[in-house]
Amino acid sequence: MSATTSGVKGDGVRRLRRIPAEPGIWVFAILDMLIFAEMFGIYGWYRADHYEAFHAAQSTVIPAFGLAYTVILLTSSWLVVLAISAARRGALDVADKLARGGLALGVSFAVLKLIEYGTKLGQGITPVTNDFFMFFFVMTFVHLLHASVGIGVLVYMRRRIRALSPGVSSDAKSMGVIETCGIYWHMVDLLWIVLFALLYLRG
Amino acid sequence: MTRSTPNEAEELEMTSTGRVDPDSYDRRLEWLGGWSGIAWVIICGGGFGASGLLPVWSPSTKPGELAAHLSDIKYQILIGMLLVLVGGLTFLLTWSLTLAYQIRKYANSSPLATGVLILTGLTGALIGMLCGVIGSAMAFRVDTLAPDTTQLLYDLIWFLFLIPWPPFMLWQTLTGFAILSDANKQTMFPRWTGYFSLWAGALELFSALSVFFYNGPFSYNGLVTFWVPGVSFFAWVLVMAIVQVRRLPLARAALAGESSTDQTPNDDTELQSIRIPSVAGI
Amino acid sequence: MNELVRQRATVSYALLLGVTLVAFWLTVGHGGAGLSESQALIWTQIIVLAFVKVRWVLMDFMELRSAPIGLRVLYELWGVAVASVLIAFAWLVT
Repeated sequence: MSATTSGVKGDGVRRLRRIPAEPGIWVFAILDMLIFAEMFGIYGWYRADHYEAFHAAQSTVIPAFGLAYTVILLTSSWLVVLAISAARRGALDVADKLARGGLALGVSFAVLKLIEYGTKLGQGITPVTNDFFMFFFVMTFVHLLHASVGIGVLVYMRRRIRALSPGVSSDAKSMGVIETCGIYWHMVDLLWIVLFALLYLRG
Repeated sequence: MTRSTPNEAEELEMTSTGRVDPDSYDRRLEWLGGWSGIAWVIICGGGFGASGLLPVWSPSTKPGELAAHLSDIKYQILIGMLLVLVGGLTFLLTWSLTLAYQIRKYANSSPLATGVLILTGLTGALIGMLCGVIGSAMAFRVDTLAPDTTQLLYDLIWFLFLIPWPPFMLWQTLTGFAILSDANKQTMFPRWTGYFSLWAGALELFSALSVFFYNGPFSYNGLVTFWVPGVSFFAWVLVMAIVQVRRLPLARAALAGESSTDQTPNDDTELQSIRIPSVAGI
Repeated sequence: MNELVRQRATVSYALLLGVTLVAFWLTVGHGGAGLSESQALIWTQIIVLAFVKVRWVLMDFMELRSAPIGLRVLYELWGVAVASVLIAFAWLVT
């Protein structure tokens, strides 16, 4: 779609490219994604090197959990995009409700994750059971910590949305902070998409 | 501004009225403090590198093998540890204090933040000291101790390096939040350094994993557990120190411009460009 | 502009859900993947689908599509690099 290029759009208005949210969050995100990339890469190596063992260990992972997490986080991210969009056009009540929805889904992600950990531990499967589960627990736990911080970030985002002046086009700084919160949450979502593929889908 | 010689003027920061800037000693210390961070990274990083202890051997290594290896590089270790101690007990202290001082001066003047930053900086330096001392003792006695004991000392070096991560995390996270606070006018610390500090702080958590695994990426020599917090801490100090050195003139000028009673119209545009709004570029 | 972002994001959301279900069905739904098909091939499909999804999140949720090219390329490179390494390992390491 032409809106995504910096060329002239059909209606004659040239759209400028702008850095979404604050530049600093993009520094944070790429650095954090590098660390996860390192873990993903090491996992990929181990998995290829010990394929039979990993494949066998993976059979006790319940894919339905993974699917649930993915749908929850994708929906949560989508709601956050809608919330930010609503905040931009001054529809603050709508924005708040949408943000609350995103937040609720984020919390349910964490709760479900703890339940899944509970079932695994109950079966006697721990991070030291074998290499696959070492990666499973460590990577998902690090992700869970990020998601938990993300829940805090979403709470803060809601607060900032409620602090906007209704009906007035919001000042760039406030929207910048709100968008920054959204970017962090999308990063959590994006990282989960990869983890889902690595850990829950059997190949 | 008249200058008799460039050196003299630099030394005394003559103002247009010919008064000597009483803050020039402070300025010089701030500058040295910033540079000491860079010095620490070079000396301490160099010390670990030169010691022959990197890359770290797996916790699963047989004690006999490990002791034999350490015995081979005994003097390398001792010299490396010497550098770690020299760097850590001087430059890390001066840098961390400068950071606390500058956070207070340019970002957020909360006395509690200053206090915690001073304490965590001190703790960090002491922990580094313990790594250096234990490493030295281990090398000192490697030829006579039972290999099991040598291995325990080896474990201790890396445990000290990794598992007292909380004060480091607090140090970096508090720095990050101070920089991101509304009080920060971003003369010295632009907002991205705040995000960068939060990232570095978060990574400290990986160190906690090291006690649970005896091999692989999450053990104390692991690609993740050792190298991620290790490199990120050194990188954090280096990046912050570079920012502190480069932005010192700007930051001091902005502060001076704020507090000066006379209007300095010719400086306004410069000051405007210093006040970077948060949604602009890095 | 705002409206466009919203619509784009919703379309991407639908696509994301769709691809998620496709990937799920491919590998788990129909009796799970035995070792009948090359495991490296299945893995490649999983990774490609995952990073296509990642790209939609980057472009349409995080709005990189309309961001300065440098920033966008940096993040796209992350996706390409990680996906390539993961796929390469499956084929090269056995």
